[in-house]
Amino acid sequence: MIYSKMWLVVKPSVGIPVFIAAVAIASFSVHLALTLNTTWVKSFLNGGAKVVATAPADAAAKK
Amino acid sequence: MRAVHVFCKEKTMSDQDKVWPTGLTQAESEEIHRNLIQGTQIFGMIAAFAHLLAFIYSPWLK
Repeated sequence: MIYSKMWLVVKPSVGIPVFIAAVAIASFSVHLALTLNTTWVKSFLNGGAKVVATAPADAAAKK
Repeated sequence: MRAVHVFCKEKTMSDQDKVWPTGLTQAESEEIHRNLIQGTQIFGMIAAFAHLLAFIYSPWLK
């Protein structure tokens, strides 16, 4: 298995928390950016599915 | 001759009983890595399933 010998030189008590923290921070950053840079998350969490569903109709009605 | 053989054996990477600076042997290191890979794969599958549900039931990417 590739890289399996890394734990001979990296202490697992250090390397595994660093690995998990890196995944957690990266994941949190992506989801935070998604919520801050889009408009649909807030309406979706407010039960805004109908708003999204009617958005194209509203856009067509305005034309 | 035997002493030379033992000396060389201690120096090789394939010695399963050698304790490395982290306190692990090669077999223990491979066991940890195997479990870490398995955990990552399970996490990845759950994450992929969660993203599938998010794609189906939320306005994400629509």
